Amino acid sequence: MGVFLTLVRASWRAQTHYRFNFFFTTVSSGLAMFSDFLLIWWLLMNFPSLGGWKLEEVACIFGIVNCSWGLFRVIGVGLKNFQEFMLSGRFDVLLVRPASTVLQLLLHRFDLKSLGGVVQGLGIGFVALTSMGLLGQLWPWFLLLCLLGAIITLEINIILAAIAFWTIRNEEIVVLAFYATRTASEYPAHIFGPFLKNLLTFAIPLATIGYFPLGYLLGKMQNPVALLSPFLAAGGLFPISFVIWKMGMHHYSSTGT
Amino acid sequence: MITVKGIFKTYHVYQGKGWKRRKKEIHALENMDFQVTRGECLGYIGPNGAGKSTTVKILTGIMVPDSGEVISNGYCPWKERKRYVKNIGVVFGQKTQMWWDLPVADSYALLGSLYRVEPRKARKQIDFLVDALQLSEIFHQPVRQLSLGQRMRAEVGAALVHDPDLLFLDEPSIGLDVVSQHNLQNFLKQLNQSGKTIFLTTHNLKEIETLCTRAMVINQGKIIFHGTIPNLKKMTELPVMVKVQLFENPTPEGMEQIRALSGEYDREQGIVAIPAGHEKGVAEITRILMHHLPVEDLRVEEPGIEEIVKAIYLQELSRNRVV
Repeated sequence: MGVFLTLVRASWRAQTHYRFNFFFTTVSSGLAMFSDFLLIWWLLMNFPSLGGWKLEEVACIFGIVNCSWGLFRVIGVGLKNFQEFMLSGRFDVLLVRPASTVLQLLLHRFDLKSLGGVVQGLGIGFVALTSMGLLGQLWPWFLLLCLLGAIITLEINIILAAIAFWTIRNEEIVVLAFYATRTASEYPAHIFGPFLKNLLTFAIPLATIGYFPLGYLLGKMQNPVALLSPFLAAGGLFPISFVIWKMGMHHYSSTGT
Repeated sequence: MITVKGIFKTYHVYQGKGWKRRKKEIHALENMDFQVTRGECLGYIGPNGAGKSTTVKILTGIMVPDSGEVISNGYCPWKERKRYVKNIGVVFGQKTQMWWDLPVADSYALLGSLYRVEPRKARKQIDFLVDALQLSEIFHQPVRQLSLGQRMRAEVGAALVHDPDLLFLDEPSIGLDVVSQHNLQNFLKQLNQSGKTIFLTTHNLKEIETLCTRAMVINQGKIIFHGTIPNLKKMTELPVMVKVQLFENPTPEGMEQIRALSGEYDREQGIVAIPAGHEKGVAEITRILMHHLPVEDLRVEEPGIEEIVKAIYLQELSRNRVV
């Protein structure tokens, strides 16, 4: 825990050193996300609903998915750029320290600018909840789902990063398997048809971050498993990501690079 | 401190492209045995691709060998990695162990808490390192702004924040100027005298001579020499070479002199190379050359690592043939 605090303090000092730059990039990363939201807005201005979901309801999914994505990005820089550790051989440095390698990757850098995305996601979600008159009732769920979403995002990214133990480069795989599905998970999953919906439910379960639990909370789904799905995904991915990472480490230590 | 018994390591590489690629085995280490005693500074030498970095990776717990045993500082490096690395320090010349965007001071603080060093102890050790490695000027600069020499000094300090008993250094003086090299060597010497065990991989023979009492030479995955530095030199008996650059081809009389000194003339580059032997020393040879040849430049060359390794390797081969 002491390490985390030291790193937060040091990162804050380092990243706010150029104040204007920090302010500007934080705001612009938030704005870039907001422009994604404008697309949804524009869509729902022209169509009354998206697969039966109103603008405010889609905005809630969007808010949760982006808030958890932002939370992940604050600590996930090392995992996102994991192929650099493989290519430069810097992974060796992590192995000669008495701490878990995943933990050290999370400690690699705190990207405080991503907090801009977190604030935006929370903002969009809260505005949407307020206009539906559900804020007082649902805000604790909203925060909890953001947190669970960040954990699910983290676990998926650990698995995708572990691929680099075998392939060295994994950037294309991450773009294909994660970035595309992440964008899709901002929308109600059933509009994509059964194949993609199943993919987002069982293979890369990003639909469990916002779509399923909100579907239950907003009265669109009756099965309570929908509400439980983010817990199941986070709990189920944990041993899987752990084992795959261990296997990757084992492969690395017997072959080197 | 370190006992290595019967280590084998084989890599599989694929040759060719596409579906027709063939698997090929490369024996990186073959039946390696050696010991490092506590408090010693061992120089580890060998040409590129000889298996040096594989050895270091195994000794630091990064890599698992195919077979064999290692007990280092009481642990098996790859089986008890986390406990083992608590008490070793590793400097990889090429890879930084600090946080690129953060000042050196913050990197040291982070390392202190990663290794769970008691705050008071950490502060004392960091003060010592800042002083001994002359880090005060660069201590509050981000690592990415440091020059190579400054970074290397900070790197060595970073490996010592937790005050380990055993230190692995992989090419620590690469890219350093002469003064920085000298300072770094002095510091390492101090460390060694204070009781730390050092395993030093290097290309720099001078560095080994100043720091180490013993050296180990590896070639093609096998240790071909392990002993004291004087023995290493005696064993190879490679002569010091006097080399002169000529500005025009020598006269027939000059050629005669070169032959008499059992030297060679490289006509394309215009370089004469004379081995300094027992009967004629460097001074004598220099005098003769200056007198008889159109000398533009003159230098005296000690045998390098590559030549020493080659000489030992050839000796080994011929001995095996006799037996």
